[in-house]
Amino acid sequence: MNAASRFFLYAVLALAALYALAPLWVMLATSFKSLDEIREGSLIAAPQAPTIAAWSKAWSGACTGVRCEGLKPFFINSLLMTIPAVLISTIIGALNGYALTHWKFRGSELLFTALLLGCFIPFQVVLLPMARTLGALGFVDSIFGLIFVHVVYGLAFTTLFFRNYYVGVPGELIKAARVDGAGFFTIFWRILMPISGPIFMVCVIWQFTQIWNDFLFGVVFAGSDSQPVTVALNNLVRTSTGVKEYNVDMAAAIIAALPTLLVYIVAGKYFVRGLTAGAVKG
Amino acid sequence: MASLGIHNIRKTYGDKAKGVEVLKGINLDIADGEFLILVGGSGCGKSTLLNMIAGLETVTEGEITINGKRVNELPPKDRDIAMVFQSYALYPSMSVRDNIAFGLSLRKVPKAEQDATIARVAKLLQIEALLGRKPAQLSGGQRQRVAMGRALAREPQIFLFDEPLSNLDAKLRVEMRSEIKLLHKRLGITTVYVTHDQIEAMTLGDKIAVMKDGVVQQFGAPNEIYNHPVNTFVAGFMGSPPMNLIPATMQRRGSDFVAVMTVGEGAAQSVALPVDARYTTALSDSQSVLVGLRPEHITDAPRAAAPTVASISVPVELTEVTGADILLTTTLGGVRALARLHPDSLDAIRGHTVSVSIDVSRLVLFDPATGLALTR
Repeated sequence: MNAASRFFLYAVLALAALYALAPLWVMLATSFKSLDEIREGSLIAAPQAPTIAAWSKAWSGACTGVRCEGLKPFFINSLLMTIPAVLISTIIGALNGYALTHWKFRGSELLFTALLLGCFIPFQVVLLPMARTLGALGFVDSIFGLIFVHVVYGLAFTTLFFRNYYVGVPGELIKAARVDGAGFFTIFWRILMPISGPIFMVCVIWQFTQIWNDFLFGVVFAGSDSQPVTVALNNLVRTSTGVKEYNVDMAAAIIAALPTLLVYIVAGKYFVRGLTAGAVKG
Repeated sequence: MASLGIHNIRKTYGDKAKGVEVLKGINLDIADGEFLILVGGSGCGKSTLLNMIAGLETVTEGEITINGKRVNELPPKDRDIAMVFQSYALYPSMSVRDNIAFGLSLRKVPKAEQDATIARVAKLLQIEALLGRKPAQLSGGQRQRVAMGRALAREPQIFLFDEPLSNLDAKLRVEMRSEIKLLHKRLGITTVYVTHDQIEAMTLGDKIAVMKDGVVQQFGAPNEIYNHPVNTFVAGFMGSPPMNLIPATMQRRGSDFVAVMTVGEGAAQSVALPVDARYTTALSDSQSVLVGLRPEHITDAPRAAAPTVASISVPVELTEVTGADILLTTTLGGVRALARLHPDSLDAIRGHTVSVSIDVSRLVLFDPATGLALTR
């Protein structure tokens, strides 16, 4: 490749990166400006007198509807909902994948196909039946209800992930453990879990992103005290008392997006590795 | 220590009426301390049978007994067996020590006793230096040893081997083969060993069961199977190179019979081999047969010391020098036939024909239609 075409290539890449990063820059810059500066300055200019006033207001003072406590309580709601939902759906998905690959039973293929179908069901379709189910179970308007919903709808994906990973684990490994005297759960915990690191990370990232970013279930099934941060962000942006506080909106949006960004930064490298990992070599 | 009985075992996958039957009524009995080989091509059902003995596959029909006690319904862990797998199946996240200790700790063996067992097994298999390593840090041969160590640690009643040597290179395979044989000699544990390699079968087994399409073709001692195969499949499967199967016609000569076969490609000449009197009752004049002859029984003068020889002159089509022997390809009865000659005879077979001696006492006759050996 000669210098000219190399230059062209990098120019195109830089442009694409700029295009993707520009909105983030605008958000970051705006969130550190005061309202006056936003009104007078340019949209993409760096803040002249950076202030974290907007951030602290978004976190603990901004109004989301009638409450004016910022995003903090809802952020905590989101954590309380996401962490258990991610862990439970991942562990059950791992058990499902293990059973579907190494303890096949009559109809296990059919069951797997049926589970796969769950990946393609649009969430809007299940809103009403799920509302009735939550009502019948007594989980209405609670974080517990949201956890339940996310576990149920995450299972299709987590099962698929683990099933495809465990298919690559040699059956002889399981047989050897059975001859050694290990049962279903012993084999799972002692043999399979220690080699499931990569796919575990994939599952956690996927589920965390899905559940943290979910708006629909949050807005439909949560009560006013159990709303996740996505719903609160929407309320915060739409609640205005006279002046539209762009800096607070931007800071709130970044706060709401921060955990998923963090998960990607910390565990992102496992994501691709886990998706491409094949058979486990003894 | 245990005897093993396999009685009328059938295995059907899927629906019992419509499914695929992979084992069609297997009967095998081995005594305490015997080494049984299950040998056959891929898909013959040998591994399925082994898995059934282990309890890893259900039995569709029939009965498996250990020490005379029915074990069909027992899970693998209660059968007191240990198994070595083709892929070794070492637990990848555990060290060699933990691999060996896994079965012991699940059986709640006290820690001190575990350590003693590990030390004993490691010494026996010379893997003391590897105990701290993970399976990924071991070579193929080392993994093989660890897999055997894991099985040995439990002191099982029956040892099961599922093609344990087929992932090793040729040299290591021969080494490990003798080591398994030695180990069996020393410990005397009843063993069932699955292989597709007929040399492993011959060298290791006290008893061999040759299998094809879910049926045991022949069950007997290695010599019996090698010298008196019951059908053409066994004759062709056991031995390397396999037994020659030469089309011939029987002719009555007085009270005896001779087998007449053509020599060379043009079929211009033919040769008559006297047939042992044992066969006489089973034969009739001008009957077509397949004459089974091992390559080493078609040989040249330096080797043919037996009194029951017939000398013939055969065309030389190809010679392969293996070092210990010369394999000579010729045509008998219109088909390729191999002879095994002394390595010193290379100069003598420069010509187009060579004189060979056939040990007719070793000759086996088969019915060409059914492939079955004619009764002696």
